[in-house]
Amino acid sequence: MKALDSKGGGQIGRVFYVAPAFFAFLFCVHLGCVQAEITIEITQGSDSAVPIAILPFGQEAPIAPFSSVIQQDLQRSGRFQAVQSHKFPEKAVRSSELTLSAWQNLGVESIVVGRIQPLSSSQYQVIFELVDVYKGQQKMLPSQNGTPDNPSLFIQNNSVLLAQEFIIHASESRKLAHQISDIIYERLTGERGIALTRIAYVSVVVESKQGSEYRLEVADLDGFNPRVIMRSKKPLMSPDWSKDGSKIAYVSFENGRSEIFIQNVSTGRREKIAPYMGLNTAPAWSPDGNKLALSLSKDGNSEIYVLHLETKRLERLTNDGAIDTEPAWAPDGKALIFTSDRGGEGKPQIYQFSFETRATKRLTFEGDYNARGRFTSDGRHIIMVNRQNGQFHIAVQEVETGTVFWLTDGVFDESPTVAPNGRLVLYATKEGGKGLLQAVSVDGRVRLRLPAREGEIREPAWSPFPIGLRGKGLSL
Amino acid sequence: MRWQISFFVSVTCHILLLVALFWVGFPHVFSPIRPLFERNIDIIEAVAIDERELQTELKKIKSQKQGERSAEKAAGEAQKKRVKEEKRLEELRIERLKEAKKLEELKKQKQKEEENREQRERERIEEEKKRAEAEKAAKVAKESAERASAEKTRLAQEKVGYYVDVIKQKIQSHWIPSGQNLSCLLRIRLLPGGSVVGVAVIEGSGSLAFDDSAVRAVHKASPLPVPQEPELWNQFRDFTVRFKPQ
Repeated sequence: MKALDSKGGGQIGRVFYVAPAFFAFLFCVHLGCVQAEITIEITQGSDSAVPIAILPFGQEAPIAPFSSVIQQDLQRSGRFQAVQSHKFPEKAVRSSELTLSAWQNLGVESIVVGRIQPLSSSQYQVIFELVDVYKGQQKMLPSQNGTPDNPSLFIQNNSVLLAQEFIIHASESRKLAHQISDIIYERLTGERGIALTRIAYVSVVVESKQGSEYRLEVADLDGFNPRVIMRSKKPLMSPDWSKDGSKIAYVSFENGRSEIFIQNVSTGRREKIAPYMGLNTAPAWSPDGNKLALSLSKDGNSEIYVLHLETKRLERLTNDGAIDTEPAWAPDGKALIFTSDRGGEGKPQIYQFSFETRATKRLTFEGDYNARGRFTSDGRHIIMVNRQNGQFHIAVQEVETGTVFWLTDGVFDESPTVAPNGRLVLYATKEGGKGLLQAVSVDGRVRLRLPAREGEIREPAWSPFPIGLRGKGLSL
Repeated sequence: MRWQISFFVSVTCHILLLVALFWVGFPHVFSPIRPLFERNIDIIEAVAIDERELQTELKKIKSQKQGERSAEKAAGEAQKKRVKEEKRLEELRIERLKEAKKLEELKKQKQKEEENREQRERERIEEEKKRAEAEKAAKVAKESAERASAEKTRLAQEKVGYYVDVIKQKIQSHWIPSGQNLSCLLRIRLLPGGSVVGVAVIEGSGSLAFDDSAVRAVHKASPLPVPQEPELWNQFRDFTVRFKPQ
């Protein structure tokens, strides 16, 4: 009975405490709605290329066409879409002359402006600026209740992302243009650019009377400044750059059999480093530059060796009855991959040798022909030649998962070489019976053909990152 | 008057005698079966009895007369008594009536009280009922209010979710990420209508290129789609965006 009484009495009491609690709850919900900070998660972006405008550099007439070189470099990277110059709403050679809103309407994200001043007959001052079309528009705005809460968050940002000055010789203008491309590329993508890199390749020029001439050439990535560093009536093969970009190792048949030479790119001085009996092939510089992996048949059949360049000591890595060749180093230098037909004659696969365990394991299983493997610079992928239905494609295999994607769909694509930033793969292909070079991005999205060269081009080798010209940052 | 009384007495005696004779002698006369002998004896004896009976009868009459006189006297008294009695009875009757009336009234009063009590009880029940109904209604109202407010909150959340989605889509369509496996957090301030007036990197990714690409995406997506309703819009005045490509 007591309980009943208290219940009866509690009815009112409850209303008295339930109601405020209820309203307090509502209030909290209301407050919660107002004060809950919304955080939006952006998990994916667009695949499209960044629209960029490279305005003509002021007074560029006497030397290289900076803006068109930069435009082509950026375009070639696959990451940028250069706006055509006839669409430009205005002319400018410095950031202060720009009307950003006009460029926003054009959909441009970044603008490059620059100017060239002759300092002497052969010396020039080159200044360029990289402008973010959107960044400059931020203004400080007091918050709703009048107090500028955290005003530092909303200060006006300078729209100029980069401003640099270079003093160059006229002959360096093209190099500087590539370098500027790489500086812009890196600032906007966060990765190093490759416009300044070079490629080595073998060209075969057929001279009807004396037969063919083999040339080992080095050129800018865009095909400019080709230079023959070695000529031979006998085949030249397998060029590979030293990690500092100063030397190239290659195979020459000039003495009637395959021998390995190392040649200084700028001086032309060369040295025979593998004069062993049998086949001496497939030199590959180690990441530290002190060793050369190669394939030698001096002990019977082709095996993988490591040559310690300073001591000339040879270290044998493989020992079996099959052909082991085409070694390539992992970026950390702790492992090698190579091609071997130990799994079946005429069915080469890629194997990995670990220096730590000195064990060898097979890496490729997709298809009956996988050869000439090359690591990407992050070591996460292997680029290789994969045969499918009698056709040779460039394929990429994810090391961790073993997943394979085709990057090309040619009939005879071969000799892939990976850009030092790991973004692009250069490979040799045949078109109309003629060998030429093409490039494809590792994600398969960008494909481009490099400018045609004289003769038939084979076996490209991508240089490491070169050292650029010295510049000076200008205060923004 | 004296002779009258004597005459009346003698007549009465003769009548009595005659009655006595008939009652004793006639059955013998009219009874042929009875022997004569018996009849004789009877007569003698009858004479003797008659005498005695007469005496007693006389006495009786005397006393009767006396009794009659006293009876008359008594009758008178009785009459008086009766009248008195009647009067008393009448009074009693009246009294009883009165009492009955009183009782009736009492009864009525009691009934009225009972009725009142019942009325009060009914009222109380009614009130109880009303109160219960009111309580129930209040409860229902409260519940429906709660439901309504929950519904409102849900709707608001749904709407906020919708705008979060469309803002996300718009920013994503404008974002060309510079880098992978990176993450940055931006704070965005909008004007009513969705125009971006401020973007700040509150948590950088470590890569300028990546952070810039995120900031650019927000600016390029401006104006962002935002709700018109003030209480919803308030949530979009100032918010954060996490850029984390997957």
